[in-house]
Amino acid sequence: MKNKMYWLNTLLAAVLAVAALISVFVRTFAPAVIIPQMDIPDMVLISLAALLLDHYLAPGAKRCYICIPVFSALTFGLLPYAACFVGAADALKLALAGGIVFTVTTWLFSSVQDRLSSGPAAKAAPVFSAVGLYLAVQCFEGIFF
Amino acid sequence: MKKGFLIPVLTIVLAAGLLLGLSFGLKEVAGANARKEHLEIMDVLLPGEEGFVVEPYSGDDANIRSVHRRDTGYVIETVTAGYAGDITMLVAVNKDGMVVGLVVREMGETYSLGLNALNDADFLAQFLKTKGDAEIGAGVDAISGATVTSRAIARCVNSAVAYVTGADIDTGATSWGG
Repeated sequence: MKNKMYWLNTLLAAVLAVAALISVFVRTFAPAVIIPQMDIPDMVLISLAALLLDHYLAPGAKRCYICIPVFSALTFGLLPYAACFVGAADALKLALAGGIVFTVTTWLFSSVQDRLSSGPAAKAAPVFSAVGLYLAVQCFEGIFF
Repeated sequence: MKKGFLIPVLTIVLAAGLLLGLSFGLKEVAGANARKEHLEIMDVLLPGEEGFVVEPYSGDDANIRSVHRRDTGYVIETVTAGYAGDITMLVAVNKDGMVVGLVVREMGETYSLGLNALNDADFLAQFLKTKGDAEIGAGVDAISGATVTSRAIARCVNSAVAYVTGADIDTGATSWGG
């Protein structure tokens, strides 16, 4: 599974790119629609989507915990900046926050994933774990920020 | 190993290039659509004969971002801190200093709690016909589980009225209706 080590960051870039692409079209052609600002819960949501895809597409792939924060910081900093959603200063903040958020989310999700039973009945378990993590982040966001 | 390392880098660079090109390509269309939509919303909030004129704001009320005047009153764009980020609103106030329309334009509040302020008509309708005296718990009921958001919206509405009535004495506001 070593060759799939970088899939997670590739999937993160793909998920965020698709989200940003949709947002660009919405901003252009439906300006009345309120586009959520990129905050910690949104970062976690995108991270969990990438982690879920990685779980089903590359099951058991090894994690590179040095590459993960570097690539995720690059992804969260560069893509919103390229889509003109944030300026350079905010892009740096997003890069820093994104790197930390994605690494922590990956560690948490992987810890849960490692403990899940792998039988046929547990196929949806990662999805429910991701939903649980997302709800927990929303609750804690108001306390810390 | 080295080849695998390049895949996420290439994905990020390609995605950034695509988004950058698309953003610049659609910049003018997006700007025109946003201005048109903004005017349409203001027109619904405060119908009138004349067009809107942007009035410079030099006051100290940090909640007020911009002021748009027309023959029937003002539409004031306000920004204030909510529970999770800023809340941007358009508040229409007539010449008598009475709120005649309001809409939330941007917010990042908690899903299923504060975010309900976007479309909770019963909550927003409580601010209509107020004259700067909107207060959560005293005539205005908060959204359940979102008191901070509700208070932020009340602050926005009261700031807008204060501008029009001149109650905001430090702003150099018009004395219409005051």
